[in-house]
Amino acid sequence: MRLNDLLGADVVDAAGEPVGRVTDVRLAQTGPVGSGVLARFVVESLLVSPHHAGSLFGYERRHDQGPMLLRAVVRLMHRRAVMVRWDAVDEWDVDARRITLTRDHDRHPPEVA
Amino acid sequence: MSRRRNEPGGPGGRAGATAGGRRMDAALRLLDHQLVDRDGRLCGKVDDLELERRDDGTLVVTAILTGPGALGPRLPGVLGRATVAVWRRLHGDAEPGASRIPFERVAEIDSAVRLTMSRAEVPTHGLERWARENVVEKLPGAGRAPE
Repeated sequence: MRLNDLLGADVVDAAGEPVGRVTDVRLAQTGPVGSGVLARFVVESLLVSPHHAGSLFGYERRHDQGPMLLRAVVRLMHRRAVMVRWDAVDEWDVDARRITLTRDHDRHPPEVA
Repeated sequence: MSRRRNEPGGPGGRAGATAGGRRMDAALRLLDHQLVDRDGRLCGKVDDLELERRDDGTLVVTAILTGPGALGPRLPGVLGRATVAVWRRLHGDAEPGASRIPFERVAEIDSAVRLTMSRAEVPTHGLERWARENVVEKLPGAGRAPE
């Protein structure tokens, strides 16, 4: 499977209520770093926004990124964006592009990586 | 294809083991970024990432995908379908896969993705090969082009 299978996928809670769409995927590095080679990355969290597909250049995650007017507009559009950890995913239907979260999942405000 | 988290290889793998490592947002920091070979030469763009589900549920990045076979499915509508169709037509294999660079060949990620391999080792796609053989190499003076 591909990153593109995750990006734009619909995210719903355990009751089937829509949470939003995946606009970005946060990766975290794991394991030892070999000489001249990066350690592997795993999917840690999903950035889910109720309005728009696309990451919109990180404005929804960075509090200090300018210009101010553009930042304000993007942050307004993404004010309900949340991050959910990959371990809060109960089911991922790749073909239907649909992700179902666990009943007790936590949602966090987007933060810069 | 659908899997639940309590199935082997299902989603929801514990990410606790990742605590303390470097983090980056894939679409923002990797997609469409430049690939640079070990000699500093440009060799394509990051068009997608290959992900693999492990038995513990974690989703691991196993390769960078590049070229029309990876970009085409990301493009909307007719443009995406046409890109994939042309790429398939010009590719030498009957069932071609997207050009794949194993993640072990990535040396560093900054504003570009730097590889430990040379540009010659990066899998090239049919359109590029066709254009090189049928167009670029036939241009007057093409043989004198610097590397």
